[in-house]
Amino acid sequence: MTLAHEQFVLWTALALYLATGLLAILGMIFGRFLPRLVGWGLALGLIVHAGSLAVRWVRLGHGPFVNLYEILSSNIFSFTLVFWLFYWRQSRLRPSVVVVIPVIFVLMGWLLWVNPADSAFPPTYDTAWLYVHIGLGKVALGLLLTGAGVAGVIVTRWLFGAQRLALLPGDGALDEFGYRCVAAAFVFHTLMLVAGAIWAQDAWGRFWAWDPLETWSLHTWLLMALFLHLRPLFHPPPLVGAVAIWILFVAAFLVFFGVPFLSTAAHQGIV
Amino acid sequence: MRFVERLASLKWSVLVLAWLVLVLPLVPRALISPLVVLGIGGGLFLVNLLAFLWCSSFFRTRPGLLVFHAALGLFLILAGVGRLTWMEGNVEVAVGEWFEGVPMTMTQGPLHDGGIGQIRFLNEGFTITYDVGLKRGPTRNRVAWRDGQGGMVRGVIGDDYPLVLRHYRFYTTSNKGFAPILTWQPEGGQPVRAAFHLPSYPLFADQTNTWSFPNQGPTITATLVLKEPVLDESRPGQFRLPEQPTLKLAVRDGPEAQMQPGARLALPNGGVVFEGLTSWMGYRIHYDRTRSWLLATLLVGVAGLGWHYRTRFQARDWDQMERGG
Repeated sequence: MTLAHEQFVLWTALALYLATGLLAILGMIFGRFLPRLVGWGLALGLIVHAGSLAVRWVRLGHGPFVNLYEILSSNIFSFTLVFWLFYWRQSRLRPSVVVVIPVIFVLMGWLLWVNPADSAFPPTYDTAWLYVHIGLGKVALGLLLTGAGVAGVIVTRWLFGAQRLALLPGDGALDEFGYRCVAAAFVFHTLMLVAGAIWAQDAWGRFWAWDPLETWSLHTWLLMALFLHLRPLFHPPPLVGAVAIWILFVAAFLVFFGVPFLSTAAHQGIV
Repeated sequence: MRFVERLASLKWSVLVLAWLVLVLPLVPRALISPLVVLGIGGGLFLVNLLAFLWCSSFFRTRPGLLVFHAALGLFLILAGVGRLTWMEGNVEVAVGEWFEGVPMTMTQGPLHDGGIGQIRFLNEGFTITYDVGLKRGPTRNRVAWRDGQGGMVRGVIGDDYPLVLRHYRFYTTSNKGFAPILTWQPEGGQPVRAAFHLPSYPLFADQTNTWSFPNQGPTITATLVLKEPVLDESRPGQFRLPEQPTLKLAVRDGPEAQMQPGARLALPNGGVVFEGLTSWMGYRIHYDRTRSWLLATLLVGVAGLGWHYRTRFQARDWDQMERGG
């Protein structure tokens, strides 16, 4: 298997995501949303995408989380997978795919511009804790994206009228679901920090060094804690809660895809 | 009592979190250390939490949340203790030499007990593989130390597999290089033998360094002449000693010579012998007794939080309500 084979499989997966996403968006616009077809389309895209990641893993001998290309590809997969699990289990949430899928599209577009060159696996990455750390981070970010999806529905309704996306539950229920996503993301983010500290202890001899990635991931954790405390104190309306969830998602997203570009520390993340 | 009730307010928790969220990333580190910011926030959180536990029965019906907050409080206390007793340092040890308990650089907490002075280990050599483009592979460093009964114990350590002695953790680093072994033979005095560490290789192409022998010995500048590169960027390789090392030796205000192993440079009051070439490894040293306790505390806390949310979310379906909490 060569890079060309891997790229072919990846592009097939991206085409499946694109077709499914457009089917969902157009279906929603023209009142012919086909939830089962969209669900199967995403599932098929995930299976093909998993094949692409597996090919690269076998070819290079390490997981897809060393360079930007690999992290983008694996995050598109994990975002879609986490959202798909909710899509499968929570049928009333399915129309929120039209808010989530554009975020995936943006990452897909970015991926097409990134050099798919092979990456070298640093010696300090050779530990099971790295896989645990990254896996937990992906779950946390996927949960925040799902929360941002339902929050996006609330914002869309406020911007374009309450009748929009009427297939979904009311704003109050969506607000509660978004809150639960943040709460679950908070648990996984905490575990991600713990696993990262264990890895850092092994890799660099210290569990915490205030490098930019560590500082900003702690900042995101604090933001989430602030959100979880503000909610019972002020009982904000769903729109305010929705905006707050988007702020959390953007903050967490920037930890993955922003800070590593500015950092020169050993803990580089995706650069 | 009213004062304690005020301290117990959830508004204080929000203020502490807001302080951390705003100050932690925005204030320049040169102005205030993140540790100070976290220390202030953590201290206020502990006061707020203790006051809340004293005044409110809120946690009685939420044991999972209580476990999480108590664990967080304990974590902060342990982290504080850890900062008081921690130690971090660096040392370079030549192959065939012992670490004698004295780091080259060291920073430590005010309550660190200085036990590193009793640590000894022997560097028995290392291997490092390199990929194309001088991408460093794993380091495997053979070390030996004495157990409690005086017997020798051997092991292999690396960048992520430390040697742990009396809770001090020694990790290999990318910092390593060559070390000419030189003997100063003063006329009528005892010879002094030492391995002098050249700059880190392959980081520095210029392999020159200057040292002085102890006891008013001569000051010398040595350059290792690499006739062919030890590591070739264009193909995989391994860190090794040059096959026929040549040392250019210059004595301050004295003679110069190109020397092979075994050669002697005569000086008016003695001579310097180039015994041979070895390598040295740079180690990072870390000491923090609270590490395991911090981990256990956090895991218990997260388990409590997960239990709390699981119980609360299972009690009510999200789509059956307009407002949760």
